[in-house]
Amino acid sequence: MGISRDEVFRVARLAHIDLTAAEAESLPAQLDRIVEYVRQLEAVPPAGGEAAFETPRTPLRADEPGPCLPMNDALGAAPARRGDLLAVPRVIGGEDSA
Amino acid sequence: MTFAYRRARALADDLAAGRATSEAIVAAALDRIARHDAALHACLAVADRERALEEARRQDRLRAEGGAPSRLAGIPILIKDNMVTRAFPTTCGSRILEGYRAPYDAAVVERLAAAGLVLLGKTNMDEFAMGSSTENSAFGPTRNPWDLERVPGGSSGGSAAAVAAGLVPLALGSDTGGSVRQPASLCGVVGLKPSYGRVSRYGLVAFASSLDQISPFARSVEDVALLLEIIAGRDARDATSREEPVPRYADALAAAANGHGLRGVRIGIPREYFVEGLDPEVEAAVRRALDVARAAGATVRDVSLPNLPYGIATYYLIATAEASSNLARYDGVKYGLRVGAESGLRGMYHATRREGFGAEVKRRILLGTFALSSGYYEAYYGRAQAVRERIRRDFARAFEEVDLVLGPTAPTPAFRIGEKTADPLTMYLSDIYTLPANLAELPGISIPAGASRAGLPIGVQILARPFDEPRLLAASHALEARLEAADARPPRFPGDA
Repeated sequence: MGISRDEVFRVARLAHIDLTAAEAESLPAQLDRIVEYVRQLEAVPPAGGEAAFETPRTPLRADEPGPCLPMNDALGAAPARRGDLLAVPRVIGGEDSA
Repeated sequence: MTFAYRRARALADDLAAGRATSEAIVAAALDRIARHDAALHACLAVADRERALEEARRQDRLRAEGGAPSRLAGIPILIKDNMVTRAFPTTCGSRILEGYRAPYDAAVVERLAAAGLVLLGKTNMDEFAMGSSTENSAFGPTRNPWDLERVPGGSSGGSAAAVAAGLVPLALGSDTGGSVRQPASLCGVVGLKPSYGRVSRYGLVAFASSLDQISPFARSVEDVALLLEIIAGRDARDATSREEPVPRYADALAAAANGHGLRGVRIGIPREYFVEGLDPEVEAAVRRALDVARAAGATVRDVSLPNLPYGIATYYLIATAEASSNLARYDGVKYGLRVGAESGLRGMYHATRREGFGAEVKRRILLGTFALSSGYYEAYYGRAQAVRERIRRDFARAFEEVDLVLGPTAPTPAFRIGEKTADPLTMYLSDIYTLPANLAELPGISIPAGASRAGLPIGVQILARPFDEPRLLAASHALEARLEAADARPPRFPGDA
């Protein structure tokens, strides 16, 4: 048993993805098989000394201001903008305000 | 003079000796792309002819004045369409970025330009580099030059096919789980995935950040070494790029030229490699490569990588978890496609991502979201991280006993277009031999080792310790010379008359 159909639709909502009608047909069964496959990791014998979670290995640079893209370049590919701002559908007072 | 299928090193020598001009080489490459790319569909964008020739003439002038910026100055190159460029759109093979033009150049694009290479365009790929066949491109599949009914491998299939068909001598791809080595194997060219951190990822559109690495394709080991020398090195804009000095890789090859590259080298062959699903012709090519290496003075011994059987499950959890986070940025707000703005902010996110992403990208985002979601995180993502560490340790132990690990690159030669699209899990299994190197951050190379009875190329893969590219390249160079399988030309794409 991998992942249920309901669970697939729950995860799709979390990921902000609507599925097309064809995907809603095929994707749950495919994901079920894939999740069933990856569950073989449960069979890896425990202990070996490694921590359950590895310490992040990515080095981080100092959090200091530095040069960045000019605003116009950064906003240049936006689907909609208003002056120096990215324009999006109404959030406050609209259907998404809750 | 004909230029198609000539190695970059040979072209560089021609340029240095005044036997050829960059203008002529670039013009020939553009002609060849115009003649053959309709059949191959390796390119998603091709340079404007006049602008490319102008750059080539500029390189010819610099060279005439004694100021060629590098040995490869004036040589044409194509890059995968997930490295951002101001000069061309960057689509990642996705509708969600169709027509997107980045406001800056990737670090590798800057380095290629500084070295005088002439960028001729962008190559086709599986959408967001998710795939092993280039069939997941939103703009249609690339075809294998050896058999147009077959896939070139993926996800960097466009770059591999372009080099295999002699369109260009050099190309860049990216390798997250084998996306350069596997198509190199299926197309009969050389593909090198450098150690994680060797090449800056600044400007590489992120798929799985702890695994992605920009990687060169060429027609010889020497050519990938020359190209690696240009793109490798620390870049402050990628915190994971490493300080290790960049050796002159070509010097390591010069020492290997008379056979020293394999003499005394200890090669390991993992017992876990010979599993069900390995094509007998691929296994035979690997056995032959081992015999050839032995005859050249290498010692060969069995090693064990006990956690290797968990590699695919581990990879597909970590890569999809990272992808689900990295691809959250495509939401119809900052750039790219916007659909459904009339249905509110959330409705716009959902509709944009429904229309913009293809099925494989959605599958992976959902799997990754699931693996990271509350209640499943420790059982899936946490577990995969722990097994990744075990795989890393397996390799570290093996590399105490041997210098290199040799085996298949892909379990089979090129498969037919459409053969695996209905069954994603079967497609994932094509990465079984390549993805452990990404999990363990090792350098790995695929070199041509022969052909199947049906005439399809077969590659072998060699892995080395992190940042041991000099030894990896020297041994591969020596093996390449003895296998005599490099430089094969697909009969359908004859050289220039």
